[in-house]
Amino acid sequence: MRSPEFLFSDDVIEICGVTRKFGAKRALDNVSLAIPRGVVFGLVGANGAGKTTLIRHLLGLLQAQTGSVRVFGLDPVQEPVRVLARVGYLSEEGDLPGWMRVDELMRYMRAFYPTWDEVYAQDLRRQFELDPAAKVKTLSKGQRARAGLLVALAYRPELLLLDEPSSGLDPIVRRDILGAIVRTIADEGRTVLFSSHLLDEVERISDRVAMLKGGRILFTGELDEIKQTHHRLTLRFLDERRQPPELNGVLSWEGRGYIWTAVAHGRLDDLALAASAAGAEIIDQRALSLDEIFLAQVGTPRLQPEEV
Amino acid sequence: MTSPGQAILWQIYWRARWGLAAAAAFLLLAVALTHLLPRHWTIQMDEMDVSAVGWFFGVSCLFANFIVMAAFSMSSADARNLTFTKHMFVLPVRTGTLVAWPMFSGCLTVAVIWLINACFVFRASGIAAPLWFPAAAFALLLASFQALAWTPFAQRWLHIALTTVVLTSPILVLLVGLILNLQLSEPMATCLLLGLIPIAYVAAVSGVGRARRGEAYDWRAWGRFVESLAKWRPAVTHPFRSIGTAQLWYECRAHLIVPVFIACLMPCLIFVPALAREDVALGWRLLAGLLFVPLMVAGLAGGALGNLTDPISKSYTASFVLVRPISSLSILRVKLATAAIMTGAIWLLFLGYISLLLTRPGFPQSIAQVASSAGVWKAIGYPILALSLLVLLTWKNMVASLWVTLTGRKWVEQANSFGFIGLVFIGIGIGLWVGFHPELHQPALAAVPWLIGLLLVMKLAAAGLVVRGLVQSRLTGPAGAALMVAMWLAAVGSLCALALFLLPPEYAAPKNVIPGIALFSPFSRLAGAPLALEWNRHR
Repeated sequence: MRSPEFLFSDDVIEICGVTRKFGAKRALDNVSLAIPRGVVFGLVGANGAGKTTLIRHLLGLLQAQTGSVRVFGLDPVQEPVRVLARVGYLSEEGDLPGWMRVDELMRYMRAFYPTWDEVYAQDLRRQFELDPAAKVKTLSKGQRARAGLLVALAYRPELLLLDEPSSGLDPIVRRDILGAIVRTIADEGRTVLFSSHLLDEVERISDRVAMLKGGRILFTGELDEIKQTHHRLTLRFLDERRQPPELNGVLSWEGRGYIWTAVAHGRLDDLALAASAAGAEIIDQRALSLDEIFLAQVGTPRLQPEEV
Repeated sequence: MTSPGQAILWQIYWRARWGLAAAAAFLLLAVALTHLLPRHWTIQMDEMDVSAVGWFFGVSCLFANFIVMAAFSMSSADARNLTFTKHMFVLPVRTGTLVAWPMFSGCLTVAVIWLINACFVFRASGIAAPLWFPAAAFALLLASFQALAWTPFAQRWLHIALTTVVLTSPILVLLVGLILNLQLSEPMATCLLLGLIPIAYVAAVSGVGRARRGEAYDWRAWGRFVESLAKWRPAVTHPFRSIGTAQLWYECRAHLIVPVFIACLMPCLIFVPALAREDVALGWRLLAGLLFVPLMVAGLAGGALGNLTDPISKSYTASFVLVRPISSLSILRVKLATAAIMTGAIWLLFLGYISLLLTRPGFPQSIAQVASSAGVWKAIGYPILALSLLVLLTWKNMVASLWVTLTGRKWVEQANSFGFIGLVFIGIGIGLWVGFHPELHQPALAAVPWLIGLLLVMKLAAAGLVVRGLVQSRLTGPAGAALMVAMWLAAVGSLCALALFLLPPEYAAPKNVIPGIALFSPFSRLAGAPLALEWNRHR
């Protein structure tokens, strides 16, 4: 059944207050997320942050212990067939049966998806330089990832879930082919959700990003908006300091004496006011890359601030 | 840990700790019960009275040796195939050290287990079990298996076939020895077996060395043959007719290994029809025995069929199937069809093998004699009926054990196996106790209907729970559940009618036949299989 809210919503994915524990470990902690149609959504986080767990909930392979998951307005656990018919999935492990040949894999997959585009599939096969007679077990890790990507793309799914697609792909395929494909899919109004460690790649092709840490979403939103609210500030203090002060919005500090550099989250005006109150002036400011934001958000702070 | 040897032994122990603990506990229990239970409980074997307790526990304790052998072979989950544990290749120790610790500690352990069994179980109950010769034989068996398992082969099937042939060769050697009437004293045989262990060690060091260097024994001619076949293989272009056809193709291809494996094992048993060829009565016994082998094979094949892990590459491919837009019921339906195809393939192989019995002198004539005395219709009808029932039973055994592996939980598989073995031991124990206490015979017989009634109630309760689960999980509606129950009742009714029609009334009273068949026909295990798959699919 389509949930009534979904009839009025343009969100392909709606995750609401999902918590998942494996024994004592909390893999997802009250995660809520909405992903609209036609966007490329990047899921970033350190190892064990919960990215794969979240994707497996979307596929119905995991059941939410609390909260709800809706894909196309449907519960993937209650209605797996209707959801999975519209989803393309590339797993991190590349779990394809080793005994299958590439052409057999394509033939097998074709049976499940009425939208399978054989011409497009053969184009992708040639583009990915895959021998149709080669057995999956004889393929390299990268070739296996390409085969997995081929069969996830060839039926033009409405939602493409890519779990660490870059881990098996070489830089050329990653940059030129994967990026181009993902952008094309989004331009066609379809949705892509992908998790990655490679933040430059996420930055290059994502419209929206969510950052996970310890099973919780640290922040989510438009990539541009996230970048606009994170700053690297260089501050000059009036007196020499051994420890940086406690400032609202500052994620990490570096420096010594009079000059300190802070990575901060918030509106620039608010940060300038806070710095002034702490006896410092901002002498330089620049935007951060996603990589730097990730390190500041997820990495451990190098210096402990002192109370102002 | 202060040495590589300690680290290697700790790893072996830790990985197999539950199995080893169970084996140790059983050994202790066997020793204790052998000393506690009365010795006058005897059974007759070869016109000799032997202690029933000693014989039962002594033979059972042999399984402890096999558990230890499996642990010391170090081929399990993370090793995936028959191979040495790969992550140990990068340890800064010589290959000789890598091999020596698991091999020699394993040999010592299996020998000690046998000595404990022989001294404190067999001999303690008056059975004169030899000490050193079996201990050496177990040690050599383990060392040979390790050497073979740790040697890399490019062709996995060749590896399995070679290992099977080498490990069954002692039976052939024994048979040749019996035929040629070779006599070896126990010390001589022990020395001979112990002398072969260093050869196994050298072979294992060579094999592990090759595996460390990434060099596998490769039968290149086979590779060229496969390549030439691949060139002739027509490109697959035509699509499957339906999702069901595609999934059936997938299941059949993925589990092709089961009948192939059985076909590979058959040459190792080729000597069975040649045993005591002149003995016509033995021919009938062999026929009866061999007809039941597929029923046992089916249980194992069912476990393999339910496993969503790729049985050939052993990689975890469950999500490959589970993320396809196919319902759990459809997956199960295809698995049931695959079980029927596999049953057909296994029976064709076995019928071919069983037909070798016709080469026994006088056996075809004996069959013709029995057939002519029974009349034409019975001579044709009874074998067809018996074969059909056996084929049906094979399929039933295969699908009844599907649910275990469909859960995708290792602990369910282990609990099921250990639970089954435990029930068998408890059953045998109770049987022995009752058997040797004549005063209990009458109350035991009187308790049988109550026991059957209790089992039927338990079966009904389990069936009720499964049906409720199916309806609640929306795998089927009330009408579908009612249809399943009706089909089960129809199957049980047909079997009861057949049994009552065919069997003589003095052996087949309805009060025995109907509950027996009702208990024997699976419902919960079969109807619960979709629930097991759902439990695996949506964790």
